[in-house]
Amino acid sequence: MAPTLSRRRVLALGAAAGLGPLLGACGDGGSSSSNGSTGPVKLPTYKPVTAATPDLAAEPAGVSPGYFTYPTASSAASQPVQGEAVTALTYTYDPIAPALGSNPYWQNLNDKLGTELKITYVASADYKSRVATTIAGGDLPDMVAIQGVVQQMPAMLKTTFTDLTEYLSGDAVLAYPNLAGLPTDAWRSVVYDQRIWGIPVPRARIGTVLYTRADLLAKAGLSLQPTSWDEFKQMAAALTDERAGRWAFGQIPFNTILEMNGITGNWPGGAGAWQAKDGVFTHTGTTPQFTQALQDTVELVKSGVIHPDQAGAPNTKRNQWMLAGTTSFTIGLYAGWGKFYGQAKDVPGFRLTGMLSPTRDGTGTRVRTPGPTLSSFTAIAKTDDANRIKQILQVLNWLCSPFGSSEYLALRYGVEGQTFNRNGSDPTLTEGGRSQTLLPVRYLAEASPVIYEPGNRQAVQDQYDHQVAGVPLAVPDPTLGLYSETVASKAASEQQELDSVLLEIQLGNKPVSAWQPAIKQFMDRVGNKIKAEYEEQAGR
Amino acid sequence: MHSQRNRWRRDRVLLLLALPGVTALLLFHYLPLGGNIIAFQDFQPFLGIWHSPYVGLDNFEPVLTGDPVFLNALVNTLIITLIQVVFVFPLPICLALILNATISERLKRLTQSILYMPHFLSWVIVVALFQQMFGNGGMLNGWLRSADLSTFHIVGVPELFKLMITSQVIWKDTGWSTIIFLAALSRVDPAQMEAAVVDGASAVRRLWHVTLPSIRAVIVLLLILRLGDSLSVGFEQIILQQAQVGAGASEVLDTYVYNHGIVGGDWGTAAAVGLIKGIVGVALVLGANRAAHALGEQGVYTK
Amino acid sequence: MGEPSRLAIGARGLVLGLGCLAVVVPFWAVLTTSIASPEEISRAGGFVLWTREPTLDAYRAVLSGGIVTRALMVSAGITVVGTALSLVATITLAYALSRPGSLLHKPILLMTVFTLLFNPGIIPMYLTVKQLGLLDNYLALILPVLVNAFNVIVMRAFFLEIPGELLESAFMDGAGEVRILLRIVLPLSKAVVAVIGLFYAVAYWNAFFSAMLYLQSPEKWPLQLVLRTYVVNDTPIGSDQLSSNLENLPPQISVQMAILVISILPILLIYPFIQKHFAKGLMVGAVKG
Repeated sequence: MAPTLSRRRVLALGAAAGLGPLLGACGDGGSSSSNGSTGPVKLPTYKPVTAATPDLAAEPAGVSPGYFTYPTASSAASQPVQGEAVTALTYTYDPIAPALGSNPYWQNLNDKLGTELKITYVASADYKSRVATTIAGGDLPDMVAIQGVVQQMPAMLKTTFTDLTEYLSGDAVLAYPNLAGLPTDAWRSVVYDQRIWGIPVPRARIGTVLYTRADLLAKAGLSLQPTSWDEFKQMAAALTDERAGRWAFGQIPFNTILEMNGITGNWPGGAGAWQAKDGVFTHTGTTPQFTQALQDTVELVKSGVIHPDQAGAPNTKRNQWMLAGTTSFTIGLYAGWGKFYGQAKDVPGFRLTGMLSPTRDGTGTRVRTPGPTLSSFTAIAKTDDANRIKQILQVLNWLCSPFGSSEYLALRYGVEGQTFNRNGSDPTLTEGGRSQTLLPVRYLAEASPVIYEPGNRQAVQDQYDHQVAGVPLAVPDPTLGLYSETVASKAASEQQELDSVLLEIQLGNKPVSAWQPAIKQFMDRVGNKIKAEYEEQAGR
Repeated sequence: MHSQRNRWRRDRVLLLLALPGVTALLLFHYLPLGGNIIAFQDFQPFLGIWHSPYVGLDNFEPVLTGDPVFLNALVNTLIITLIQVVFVFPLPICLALILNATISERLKRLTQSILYMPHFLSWVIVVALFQQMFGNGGMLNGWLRSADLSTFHIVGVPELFKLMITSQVIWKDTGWSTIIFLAALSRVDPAQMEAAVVDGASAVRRLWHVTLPSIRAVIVLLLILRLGDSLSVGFEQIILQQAQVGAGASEVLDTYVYNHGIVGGDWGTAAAVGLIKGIVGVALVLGANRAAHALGEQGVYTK
Repeated sequence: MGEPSRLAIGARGLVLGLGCLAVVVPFWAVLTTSIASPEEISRAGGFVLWTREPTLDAYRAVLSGGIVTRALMVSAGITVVGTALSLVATITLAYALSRPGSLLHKPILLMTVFTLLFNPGIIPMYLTVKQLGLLDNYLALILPVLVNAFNVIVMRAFFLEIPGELLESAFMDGAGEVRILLRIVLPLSKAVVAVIGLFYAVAYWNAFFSAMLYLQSPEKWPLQLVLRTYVVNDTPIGSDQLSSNLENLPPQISVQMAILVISILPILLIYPFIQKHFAKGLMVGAVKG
């Protein structure tokens, strides 16, 4: 728009196009992104950190550790970070926190951290627009949370952010012990063009949960884990009483039905829709199992066990149905347990469990779609000041301090006696603490998730049991760590059309047979190209 | 008649008076409007307007090739606009006339300040309230069900979708839209009205010959502007309720742009459809204005 | 006025009565839901129409911490200053365009109308605001929306209805344009100025997107943007909310309704003062007086 701006653009482009080798020269010998012959990047070495022994061990691999109570003694896990203030842009799913001046929690955090943390954030619904304008305006803060995948992601990262490979690849990450404690799968999602572009904000592998009102099922004398499609349908019918305004489901449990038919997938959006065997990628939408799942869905909808207002209902509404016992199931992501318990304190006998998808005929191996490995990742604005990069990484390292450490206490609860009090050993936020701790530091960096519901042993046990049972069933997503430009650009619109056909079938506006032409069109227009892109990358 | 010199002096002052407004429009509308050049680009925010590659008419492809999904959105948009111009547009005028005819000033004010309130509810809330009242599992159907009566379905019926959103618009904005007409009606000369009464003119005649002429210019003006906006219909309202019936019945141009452009980070497509909407809008405004002139009305601008 | 028939009065009463009922019932639900107890909310699974144990917890939850109070002041400031500036720019532009046959009046008018039909995208808009050095400045929430073409055109239409003889005779007396605008046109246009002022005020009051883009820190946010964080994030449960913070909070729907009441109350309170300018015959009285 104006000369200053375009000059900066030219410089930035120059860096991407011609100056790349200069900047990349300090990379870790083995690989360089500039010449196209890229070997696979060495992911950061995984070295778990714990500050307190869990009551329920993190086994098998991928299960989060469980704690019944908060550890009494807290020790420091990181060094304070010296240096000038660090600015950050991130998102939030919550109301905003008081400004620094009237936020003792934030002041204490800056104090303990040793560096002033200046955070700007907007509601996650608006975050995409905010990031796009900020990037277009060229005035980035030191750290930016990157949510989702945008078009030309590798080029965008190269132009705008710092390549962190030399600081984090392999054993280099051990200089930041808490970052080394982040799960390897989460790191896979921050690699583009074989370079590491940021610090992942990790999520539990267990993924989407079919939340179950265990108390309502128990009252109806039903098993908490049906073992076949027939039993599943009977259970749903038993939980439905239209005249009393009760239905089994708050939405169509489509991914449960997919899993029941032996395939993964998280629709709409089609996450987890690619499966791979011997290097050959298949879109589950093209399989006969998917068509079977559609037929099952239509059957379930027709049987009237789903809330009649489910279509397009806001999620808050579904949660209200769940709390009111209007429905016995709802689908949500993993962190919902604590939230439900928080809202359900007036619901007598409330108990929440997670249900696994049985196989259709009750035999064979059950499958489960794993969740996203991260919520977002935090990238560092382009700079070649190595000291500054190291300082920022130390800040992020500090923010990733593990559960039970004194830093974790400062990050989640603040100052004892001011923003939280102890109930036994469990910290409880004060009223002021509740609003002050809404500062979304957690969406910049945080340690691997743990299971901890203060004062609710049952909830911890139920979550842990669900993970122990579910995690081993998870079918790994073969596209993890692969980047398809088609997915990031052209496919979005085609996926939208696919979703809309799926919706019309689920609503009964279109017959199941409408799926075949739709998926064929998808494959012809983008699907086969995506398949080729994935297979080419996976083959390397 | 003024002398030439007087005229120039007068106009100089007028131009000066127009300056602040014109500057604001140039600076914050026409200058950034240049950014619509991205309709012809594969625009990427990190490359910016200067460095994103040009792709010709690629972004106009669905429009030019008549993609069925796009055509469906266009047809839905036009149907909804038609319904709204015919059924929604006249309502505030009628309501304003009814309010104006109400003799008790206090009652009139009270009613009016009640009726305009829904305008301040966001669509999220309006939709939630509507669902709670009239949804298939809502209060009304809940009562019917518990009384063993047959339920009635408005929500989730594709055939009724356009009527449903129209009734929501009526509820939300009719009261608010009366405000302009009430302001126009406030200028009706009571002396003229009294004269008509003395002449023994019937209520209908008075309405036709005294009241309506005073607000006719405003009605025509607003109608022309509404027509210019034919290709935009309630984006937020529709996107919130789209999943109830599916895209077939509910996709309109703005949701099409959202679902196919914005969601995928496809800035160029969004800009392309925006440009087309603008050009169609200009044609409609100019056409409607010409028609107004032919009927002896002022329209938006004079001949 | 003549005697309207009983039937006409009855029909009018019925229409208005039903209309008011259709508005009052939902608003009643909003109000009761905002003060209902958590038990009642979870029993009803949503809105409630009656509460036995009213509580102000939802309001307390929203207003504690002082964020909302501060945002309220910010919004009030932007609304007052913005409306005043917008009215000045709109009145002067509308007046200039309402004088028949003046220089450039048609191109300027068309230019104004066309701004209604073409929208600049958010990125070019952001770059413009940035280039003008308005980032993180409250002026960025006012100047880009200073003049709304719709309002200019409506106001101009009202100005055009003022009898030409009135202005001509003033010119004869040697009055200048500014004097005519202030002494004759404006006093005769109280109703439309009130209406357009209300339109601007409501637009400033409700705006949030520009604040989200142009203001750097949340502590500068106006009310609607702050309140939005309570309402918009409709993600599946457990997506990412800081769950531990939400314990002991009133039910979300109560909080949402309390927010609604807080955000529309100021406008409802101001309205009667604007409404009185719609009184019948105001203009004619002024002409005679």
